[in-house]
Amino acid sequence: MSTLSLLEKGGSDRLAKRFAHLASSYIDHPTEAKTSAAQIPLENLFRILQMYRYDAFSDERRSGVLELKSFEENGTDSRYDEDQWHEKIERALSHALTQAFGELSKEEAIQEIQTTLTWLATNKNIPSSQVRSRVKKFLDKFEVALD
Amino acid sequence: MKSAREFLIEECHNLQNVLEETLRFKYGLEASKDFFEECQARLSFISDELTKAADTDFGSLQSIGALLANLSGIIARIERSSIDEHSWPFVQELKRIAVAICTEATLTNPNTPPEIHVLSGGGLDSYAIQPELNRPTGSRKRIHTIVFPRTRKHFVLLHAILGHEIGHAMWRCSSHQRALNKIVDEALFSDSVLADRASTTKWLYSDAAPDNVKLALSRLRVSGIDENNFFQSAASWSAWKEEILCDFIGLLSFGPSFVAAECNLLYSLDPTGMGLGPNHPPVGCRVNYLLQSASILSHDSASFSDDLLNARIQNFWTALNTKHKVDSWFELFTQKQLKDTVDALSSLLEGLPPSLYTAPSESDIDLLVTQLAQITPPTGFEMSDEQTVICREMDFRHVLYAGWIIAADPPPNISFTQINRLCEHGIMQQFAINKNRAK
Repeated sequence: MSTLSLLEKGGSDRLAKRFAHLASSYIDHPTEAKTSAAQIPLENLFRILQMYRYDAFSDERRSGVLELKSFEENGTDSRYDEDQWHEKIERALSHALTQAFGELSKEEAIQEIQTTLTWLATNKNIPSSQVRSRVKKFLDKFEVALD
Repeated sequence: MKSAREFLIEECHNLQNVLEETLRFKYGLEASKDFFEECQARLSFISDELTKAADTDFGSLQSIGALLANLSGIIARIERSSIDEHSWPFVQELKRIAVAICTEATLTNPNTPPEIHVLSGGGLDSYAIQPELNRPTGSRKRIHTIVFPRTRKHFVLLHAILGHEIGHAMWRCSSHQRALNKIVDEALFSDSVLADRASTTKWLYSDAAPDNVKLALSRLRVSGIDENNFFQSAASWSAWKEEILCDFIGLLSFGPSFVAAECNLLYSLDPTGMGLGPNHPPVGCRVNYLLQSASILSHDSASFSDDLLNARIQNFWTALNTKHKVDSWFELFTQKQLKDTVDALSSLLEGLPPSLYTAPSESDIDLLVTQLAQITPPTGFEMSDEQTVICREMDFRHVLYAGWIIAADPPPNISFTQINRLCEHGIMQQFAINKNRAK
C-alpha cells in the first residue's frame, strides 16, 4: 500500500476533523489564521463546502485515457467501485449545519461559513459577532460529529 | 533510536532543502514562485502539526507522515518536469484550455487557476492529466500534472488525446461535477443500455455479444465473476461513466483531431476493439459513439467551394470510418441521446472559452492544409499578391486538424513524424503571431 493510500483510507475524516478544530481556534485567535500554514485547513474546509454545495464528492483517482488494464492485471477482489471516503464527512456536515444554522438554507449557511473562512485568511470583511459565533458552533459540531 | 515524530521532523528539514534546490530549475518566473509558495505553505502546515503532536499520538503521526510523503512525491515529480521532455508549443495551448476549464473558487479568489506542470512518462498509455484529489489533503491550491509519452514528444497530432484528460480535470471541479453528472445521467445514459449497472451487465452478457467478449467473460467466471457481481468485483461502474463523459469532452474541446487521435491510439493498443477492462468500456463502443457524434456535429460533412479541399476532408473521414464497428452490439446510444449530450456539453463549454472547439472557416483550413501539402509549417501567415505580409489568428486545433487531413493522404516522401514536426512548428510560429497581434 502506498503512503498516499494510507492517507486516503479513512485519513480524510481525520484531516477534516483536525481542520475543523484548527479553524474553530482561529475564530478565537484570528491572528493565528494569518500564517502560511493556517491557509491549508482554511482552504480545505472551503473546498469541502464547495463539494457539499454542489453534491460533487466523486473524487476517485483515474488512470489515463489509453490505460486498458485487463481484469487479470487489476485483480478481482470484491471491493471494487466507488470510494465512499466522503460518507462520514457528508453526514457530519449535514448534522453540523442543522445544529448551527437551524432553518437557514443550505446555500446561505455555506455562504456564511465561507465568508468567515475568507475573513480569517485575509482579515477583510469581518463578519458580525453573531455570524462568527454560528460558524464557530458549526465547526465545533462538525469536529465532534467526525469522532 | 529516533521516535517516529523525530524522524518525521528530520524528513521535514530534508524536504525543505529539496524544495529550495528545485528553485534552480526554470518553470517560468511566475510558475516557480507559485510552485514554491504552494509547497512552502504545505510544508509549514506539516511542520506545525508535527510540533504540536505528541510522541504517542500515533494516529496523527501516521496522517502527517502520509501528507509529508505525498508532498515529497509531488516535489520530486515536478522537479522532473523541468527536463523539457515535452512539446512546449502544444503545452502552452493545452494549458489555456485546462486553465479555463479548471479555474475554481478558493478562499481569496472566485476564479483561481490550478497549478499545472508537465512531465513525460514511459509507454504510449502514459498520456494523462493527474489532478490532485479534491478530498481533504495538505494542499492549498491543487496541482495538476500533465503526462506525455516520452517517445512521442513531438507527435502533436496524437497529443489531441489529452482532450479526454481535460475531462477528468473538469470532473474534479465541484462546480462542474453536478452539471456534468446531470447531463450524463439524463441526456446520455437514461433509457440506454447503460441506464444502470443491471442493464449494462445484461448487455455485456447478452447472446449478441461478440465471441471475444464472451470468451473474456467466461474467463472471469472462473474467478467467480459473473453477471451478478461484475460491477462490484471486477469493474468500476463510476469509472466507465466518467471515461465515457471524458471522451465527449475530448471531442468537444479538440474536435476532429481528438477523434483521429483516439481512434488511432486505442486501436493500436487493442487491435480487436473488443477488450474488456475494469475502467473503460470496450474500444469498439468508444470509437463508434465518437464517430457518430462527430457526424452529428457535422465535422464530417464539410462542403466547401474548393473541390480539392472537400476531397481531402472526405478522404480523412473515410479513413477514420474504417474503424467503425458495424455490429450493432457496439452501439450504446441512440442518435437522439448523442445529440442531446453534445448539445448540452457544448453549452457548458461555450461558457468557458476557449475550451469549446469550433469548426474552421474554409479560408483558414484551406490555408493550413495547402501549407502542409507544400511541406511548410501551417500558420496564419501568407503573402498577398502585392507581396505584403498578412498574419491572422489561427486556433491550434485547426492546425492539428489540417495535420490529420494531410496525414490521411500525405504528399510523397513525407512521413507522419514529419507532419507532426511541421504542425508543432506551425503552433509555435502561430504563438508568436498571436502575441504580436495582441500588441
